[in-house]
Amino acid sequence: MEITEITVFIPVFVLIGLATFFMRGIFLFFLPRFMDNSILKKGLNSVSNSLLIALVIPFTFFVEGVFSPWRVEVLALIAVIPIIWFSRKPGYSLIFGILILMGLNILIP
Amino acid sequence: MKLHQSSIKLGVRFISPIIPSIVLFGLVFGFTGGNADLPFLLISSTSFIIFAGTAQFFIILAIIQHDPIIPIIITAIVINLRHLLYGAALHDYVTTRGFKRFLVAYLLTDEVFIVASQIKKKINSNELKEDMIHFEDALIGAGIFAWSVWNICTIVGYYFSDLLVTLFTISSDFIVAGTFLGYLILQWKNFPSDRLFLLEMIVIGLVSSFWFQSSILLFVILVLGALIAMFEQYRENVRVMSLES
Repeated sequence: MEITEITVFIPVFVLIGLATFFMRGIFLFFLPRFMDNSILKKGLNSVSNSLLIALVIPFTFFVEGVFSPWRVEVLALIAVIPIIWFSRKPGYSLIFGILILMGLNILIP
Repeated sequence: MKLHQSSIKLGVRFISPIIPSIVLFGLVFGFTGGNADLPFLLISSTSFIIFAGTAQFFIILAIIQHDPIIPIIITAIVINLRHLLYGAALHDYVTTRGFKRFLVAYLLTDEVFIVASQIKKKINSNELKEDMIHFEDALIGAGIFAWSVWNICTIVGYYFSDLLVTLFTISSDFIVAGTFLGYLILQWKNFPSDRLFLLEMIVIGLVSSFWFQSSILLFVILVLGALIAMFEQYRENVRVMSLES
């Protein structure tokens, strides 16, 4: 059973891995001439900011597609904002977020 | 292939704040496979062959549910479509040729792209001197560090899943939001010119979340963000042209 699963899925993983590599690399290697203009460049430069929003907003305010802002997790993340603002250390957000969340879970059973 | 140690270290330093999140997700990923009694090679091979966390989670969950292979392949590719934008955004900065560029392409995950954006911004604001940094080497340093941690944690999560149950009281959504919130706050604080765009994107992020979920939502937000930025640039170009004429 194990051998069957492995022999079936490893080639599938290689295929997906190659497709992922292709998607990451294609424009890194070749950027078509029509994409080399100020408007498109502006769009591409916005991707990093949009990615931050995409990784923070839905994961903070939604649980499985349902808007759920009244949770201790949201409160913990809001409490982290001043810590990051003054410390300027982005890595603190997860560490302090977990600590505050644990504290809130004790205070609010 | 010559790598510059100082740039490698810089990349490792920049990705360090994201590492706790990679550790937690690696453990959860290994746990998911171990808990479902999937073969070890099956779980670990996704980590070193594909190296794309969200897609890996989807693939393993689909295998556990005995989903057909073709939809698994198509969905995994759709999930990773956003990587097209990452390569295009970094095209002007990754100037080296040969194996280094292949390595950057292999290692270009969401986390490494965030690191690349941070380094780009530091270079553009003269906090880092461009001639002192080898951009590709910094990305390779960050990427190899993330890759190593991800693979080790996958293995640890697989074999020590019973010991890790306590970790999973914290939701994975909280770990993602907690990891990147710090970067978002500093982006807001350090780059006032980006604030209007960030505000627009917060509204779009909230509204889109009512219709879409998971990686499709991620892709939708990235595309809408790019379209808005392009529209603003178009308006700016028109304004400049009308002033000139």
